[in-house]
Amino acid sequence: MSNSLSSNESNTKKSSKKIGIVMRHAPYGNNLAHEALDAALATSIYGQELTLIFMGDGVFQLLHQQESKAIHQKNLEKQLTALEFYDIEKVFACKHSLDERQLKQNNLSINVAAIETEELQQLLHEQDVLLSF
Amino acid sequence: MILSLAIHSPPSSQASYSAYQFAKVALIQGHSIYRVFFYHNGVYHGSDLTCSGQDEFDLIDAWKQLQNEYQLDLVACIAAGLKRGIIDTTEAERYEKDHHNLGNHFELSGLGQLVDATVTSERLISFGG
Repeated sequence: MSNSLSSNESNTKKSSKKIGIVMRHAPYGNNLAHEALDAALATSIYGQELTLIFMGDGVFQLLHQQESKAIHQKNLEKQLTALEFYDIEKVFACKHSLDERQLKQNNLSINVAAIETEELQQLLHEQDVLLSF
Repeated sequence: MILSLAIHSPPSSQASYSAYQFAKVALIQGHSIYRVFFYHNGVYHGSDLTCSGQDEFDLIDAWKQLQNEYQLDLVACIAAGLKRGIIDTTEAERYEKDHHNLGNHFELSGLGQLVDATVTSERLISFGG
């Protein structure tokens, strides 16, 4: 094993890391959206620096007035509106993805910062770890 | 390098085969794997009742062997597991179920184990998300 592969202590000590959780799938087709939000809450409870990023079909998770009861699913909006009580304030959505789907802020259940593709790239790059759902 | 894997896909998915292959090669190359966390449909890896076809690659057994060889920490999310019927003896008793199916090489634990793996490892690689 070469030196370049040896463990870097500064990266492995148990400190806070910048963790980005990326939501890429529409809600309800499977359980990914719910379980991603569970992972987000767990991450914040353990004191990590968390950023939530909604992109692609993941922006559909943000839609307000989801009547998920009709399909026997737990409503995602409740979990989303709980984010602020967990001090999860860094919530971003890809503006391009929103525009493509003709979604505007007033269609969404929570306040998100809609960011341009370049900013999004920068944001993803800044994270120590990305968890993709 | 210290790695951890997060596997979100079931054993029937190609992503899960990629995860296994990645883990195996990383270990052979001298990297260490701090933890493999099975989340979402990935928890189906934990079922000891899976039987693959005779002429098919047995992914569950392959993980078992890798676990034996490298003493891997294979953890399935307890909440995701309960929802999908992947339970150990303790949970079977707690929920008054007659059966349990978690393989001996697996452990059920909470999402804190995923966060811990994320913070402790130099790289976390997700499969099937």
